[in-house]
Amino acid sequence: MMTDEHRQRLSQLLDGELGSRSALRVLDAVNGDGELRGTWERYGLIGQAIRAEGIDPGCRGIADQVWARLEQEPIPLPVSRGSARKRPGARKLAALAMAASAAFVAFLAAPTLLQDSGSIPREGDMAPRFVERESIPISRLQLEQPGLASKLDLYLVTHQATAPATGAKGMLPYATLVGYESGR
Amino acid sequence: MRHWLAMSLGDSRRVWVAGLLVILCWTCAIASAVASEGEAPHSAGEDAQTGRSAELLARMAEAVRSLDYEGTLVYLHENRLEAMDLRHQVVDGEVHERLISLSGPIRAVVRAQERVMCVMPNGHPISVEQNGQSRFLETEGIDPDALVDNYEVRMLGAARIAGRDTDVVGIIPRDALRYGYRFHIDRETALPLKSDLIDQEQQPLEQLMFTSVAVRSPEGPAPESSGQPVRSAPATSAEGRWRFLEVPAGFELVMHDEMKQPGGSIIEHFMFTDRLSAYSIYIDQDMENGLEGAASIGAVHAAGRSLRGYQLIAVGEVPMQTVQQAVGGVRLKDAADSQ
Repeated sequence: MMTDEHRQRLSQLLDGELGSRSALRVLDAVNGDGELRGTWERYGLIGQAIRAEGIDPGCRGIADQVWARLEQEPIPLPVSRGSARKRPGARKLAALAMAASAAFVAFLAAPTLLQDSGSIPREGDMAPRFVERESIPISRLQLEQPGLASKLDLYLVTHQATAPATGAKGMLPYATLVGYESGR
Repeated sequence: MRHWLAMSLGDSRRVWVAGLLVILCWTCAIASAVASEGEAPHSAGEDAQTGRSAELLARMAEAVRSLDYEGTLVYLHENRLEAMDLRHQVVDGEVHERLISLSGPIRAVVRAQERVMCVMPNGHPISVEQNGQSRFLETEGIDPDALVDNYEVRMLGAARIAGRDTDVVGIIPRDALRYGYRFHIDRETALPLKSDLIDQEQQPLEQLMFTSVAVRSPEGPAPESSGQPVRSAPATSAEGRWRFLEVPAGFELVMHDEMKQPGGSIIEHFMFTDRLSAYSIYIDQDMENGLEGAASIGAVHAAGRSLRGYQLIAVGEVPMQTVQQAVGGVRLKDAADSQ
């Protein structure tokens, strides 16, 4: 039996205003109650209609815009006062000292490093290491046009529900949808 | 005498020749025996590896489906990290699953009773219903034997994840048209505690890992599967007005479905797979909100174009070149026939 509280919770969920625990309870309720599910879908449609009238498409990609701006900003480096006044002789001495230190460290550390590199097992070395992918000059799904974003989300969910690896990986194929949001 | 001498000289030559032939034969026999001895353990080792990988993948698929488990997952992609809560329960033989983001706005996917529901940011919900067994193919399991042309399946060692010992199985793509996986499979429960999406060079593109997980055996009956598994579904040909040319190597059409939209229009859905990776081509009569060009989310890529009043979009967790090639090869039948 759907109550006003259910409606309110549903509305909060779709507006992104509900905490994780409450959201889980609402989702479970939606999953088990056909009437609530119908309301959930109607609210979604209303939200889409409202957003199509008033939403600024650019706001969906605000994190990327901020990131892009930060990329363009010059990085301020701390300026050491008087560094320009250092004498050439002092620089040479500093360089010699650094070279000597490096040689000493290399002398001490080299045997250990060499020993370690030989003993690292090739198999089982599964430390996370990410390849830096080429940046693809394309807009991400969900980015600019809400209507297109909804359509692509629907296509992706339908695809994942039918793709052959899904059964073996359980919910993991949906991690892209659920986990990718903050970077958009 | 001369004759005898001649005879004896001829005999001794024959003896020498025969002796040389015998030595040659023995040398060949010994060489081939040595070579075959060298190969035998290698081949047996490979078979054992494949058998062990297949066994682990089968156990993993069964565990993912039939166990009750709940835990926190981290999703690593492009130097970002997101946390998610995953719950999987079997209730009266039916699977109930829920994945929800733990940071940022609520994003969630719920799967139960042949229905997948999504709550996405900005509040546009998605509900995909699987009407009985006829519409969707069963998606369980990975069959290593069906993958040999496009992937190499092998053991990659062992690792410790979430405080538990795991065996690592790699499904490594043989070309750049598909991605593979590296599963860290829990020795005790067979759950994949870490799953890496990898490229041809085995470099991870995305990683999913449990940081904590609680596992228990379900009390009720295990979920039953029925229907044609997509991993072994026969390849089909496109009926109707669409033809698919220049299909990316190794992929076959295995499913055609129609999605009815609220406005009455129909979106045609064609799914192609190499028995592990897959992409879908959607053909929409509604030209509004079309995709011209490419888009991506994580390792999921999409490519779209319009064709004679239809909108074509290919989507899948495959490289960009695969969806671009796929969508580029779609033709209307009469147009394709006239070419």
